[in-house]
Amino acid sequence: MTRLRLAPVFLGSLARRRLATLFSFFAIVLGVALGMAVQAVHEAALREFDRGLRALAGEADLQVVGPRGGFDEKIYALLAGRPEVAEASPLLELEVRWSESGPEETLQLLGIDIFALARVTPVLLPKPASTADRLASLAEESIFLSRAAQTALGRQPGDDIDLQAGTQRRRFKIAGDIPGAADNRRLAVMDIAAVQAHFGKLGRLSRIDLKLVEGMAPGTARSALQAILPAGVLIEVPAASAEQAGNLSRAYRVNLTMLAAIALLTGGFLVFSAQALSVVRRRTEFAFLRALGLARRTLFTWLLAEGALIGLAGGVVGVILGHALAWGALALLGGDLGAGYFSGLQPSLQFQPLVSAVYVGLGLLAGIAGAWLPAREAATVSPAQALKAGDETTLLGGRGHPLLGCGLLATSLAACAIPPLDGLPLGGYLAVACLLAGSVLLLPLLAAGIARLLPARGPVPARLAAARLGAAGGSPARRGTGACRGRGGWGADQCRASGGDGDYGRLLPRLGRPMAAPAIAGRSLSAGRPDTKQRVSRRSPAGANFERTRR
Amino acid sequence: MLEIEGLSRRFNGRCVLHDISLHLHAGEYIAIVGESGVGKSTLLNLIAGLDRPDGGRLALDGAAYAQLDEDALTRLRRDKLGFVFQAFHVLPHLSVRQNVALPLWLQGLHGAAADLPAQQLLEAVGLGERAASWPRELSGGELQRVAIARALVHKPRLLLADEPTGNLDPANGAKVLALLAERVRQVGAIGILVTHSPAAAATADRVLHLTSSGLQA
Repeated sequence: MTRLRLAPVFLGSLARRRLATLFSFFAIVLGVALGMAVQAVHEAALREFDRGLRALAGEADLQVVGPRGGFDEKIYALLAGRPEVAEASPLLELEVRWSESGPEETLQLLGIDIFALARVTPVLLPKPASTADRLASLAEESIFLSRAAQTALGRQPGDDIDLQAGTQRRRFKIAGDIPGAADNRRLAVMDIAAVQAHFGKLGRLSRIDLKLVEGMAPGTARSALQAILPAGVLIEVPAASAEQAGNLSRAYRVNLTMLAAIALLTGGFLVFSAQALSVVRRRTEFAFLRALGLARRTLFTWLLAEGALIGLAGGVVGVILGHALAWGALALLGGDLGAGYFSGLQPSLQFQPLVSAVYVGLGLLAGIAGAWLPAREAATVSPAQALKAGDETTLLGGRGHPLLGCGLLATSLAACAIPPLDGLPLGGYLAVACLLAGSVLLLPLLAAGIARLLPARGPVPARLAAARLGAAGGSPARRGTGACRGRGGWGADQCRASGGDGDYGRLLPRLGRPMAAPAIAGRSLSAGRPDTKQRVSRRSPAGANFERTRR
Repeated sequence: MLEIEGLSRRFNGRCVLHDISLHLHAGEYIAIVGESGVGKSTLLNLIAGLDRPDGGRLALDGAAYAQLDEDALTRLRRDKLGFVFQAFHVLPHLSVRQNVALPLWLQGLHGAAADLPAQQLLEAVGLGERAASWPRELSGGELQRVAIARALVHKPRLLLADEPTGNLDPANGAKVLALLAERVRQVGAIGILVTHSPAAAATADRVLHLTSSGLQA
């Protein structure tokens, strides 16, 4: 309760620096939303794909699958006669296209042997419409569409439909539906012989579903049957197909997740940047609070809480936005975001509390991680030192870490040569990470170099900013501080006269204003450290020499 | 009682304070004057427990600073010390009353237990009607009066004021100094005013001069 009472002291400052807080917040929202959207879309697509597979596989214990072009139908005869096999159901699966006036739609067409299908996968049995012939399922020109396919194509039993596979285009009559097909699965079935004949697939099959004899272990049967099959034709347990689908889409999923991770990392860095700047600006305030009796640990905890609040809010909003993005992406692009892996599926979005909680947690983590270093720095600084005017100058020295930055860029180049691991370009991801980190570390040096090249003319504020940029090093997150604040007590901040003459010495030649020089020297002397001999001796471009010494 | 005996402090090999001794009793209000750089703020930091001396002894009400770890020193400042600084240090995102109640919040008090004393102190410094205002709505003199109320709200045993009128015009400065002296005497605390202004120092009961050779009356 004691600690909570201090909430206005710390969280109130977030409202004071709205813009920085909003930037950090939106960066985390973006990272979480992208990650959540990719995850939600993919989960929905895989769930739907898996459901479809289970429906298609029915009671099959094993499935025989072949290359994309299918395999010889003689294999069906070979397997159907084996003692391990009780039933065998041949299937020819094609992706057919349909278009009339609107955009092109795709449809999964299954060629079936209706008698075998009834014994192995009864849920896929077609049902003729009341107006259709009872033997329509055996007719060459009849096709059965699932309800989802009828809705998507705007067709109903009795209508004609033109379908195309490859260069073959054929007209069929819709004879009924597939009652057992999932509500949102776009599926069409017709007699296997008709499919082979119409689409140039005579003698070809794409799958055989096998039901084993009672008591036969699938593993044993699989080994025995695999031995008699030609190369390229495989026997799988139905669950493996879902795994294959997951693997198929893994590359796009991993790439998009990495993109989301980079956005989240950026969010964390922005939190770090905003908190680091805030800590510099509030350094005296923290020192004062410490003087009043605020414990070091409490200060650290509250500064982490500031980052955590941004992260938590960003995580919650990101998850909501992620679901909205996922909904939009599923509606517009489908479950594979247009990649074509799950065409024909109409996955529906489902809220997953656990996954959502994980993504909120990731946002929270990014906020806390970003606030960690600034909080630690604020908590460890000596209050006596920080209460001194101009003490923040001690935070702004140095040139960053150019050697480490160059090393990371070199590592980035080397990482490009790492071959993919298990199909994933891990070297590429490492290269991107090193490139980002190296560039950030080199930024202070680069900015200082560019600032020195800028001409020393133009309005005084611009010259001050350029001089500040060129003179001050420090971490990338803090580079803007000096330039923005114009530290050194120029007017508004009367308590912030800089402690050293070094920066002013570096500023003077850039300012190039004869009248400004003595004024700066005077300020430095009045606010400088009392225990050191201070000497300012600079020659302004106008030629005015001055020298003051004080002990 | 504040006991300072043989206090010394060095920075980078240079002796800033050397053999400073001082004994102060409750209700005593003294001013320490000296030129810039002579070590006034350093002495104040040592007395506040914000810095550690290189030699000598410091004790408040019998508690020797040297025997206190950082947490204990923090508690000592929270419970027994009050501060008034030149730069006010009034937090802009807290109302005037919240700013005054801050030391009580740090002591774990909340609600009426913190608001009531804060309001009373604000009344005492003539800002009772500005309790709900924001610091940006107050003048410099008013802000320093808020700082004085805040320094006294938790009834400290020792009040340290570092150039409290440095940012004020002479008229406001005189009012603030008079108020500070009056309130310190009223609560019976030990008061130490650090200043380089003889006029400011004159408001204290006793004036001590800090020079490179030590503290002299």
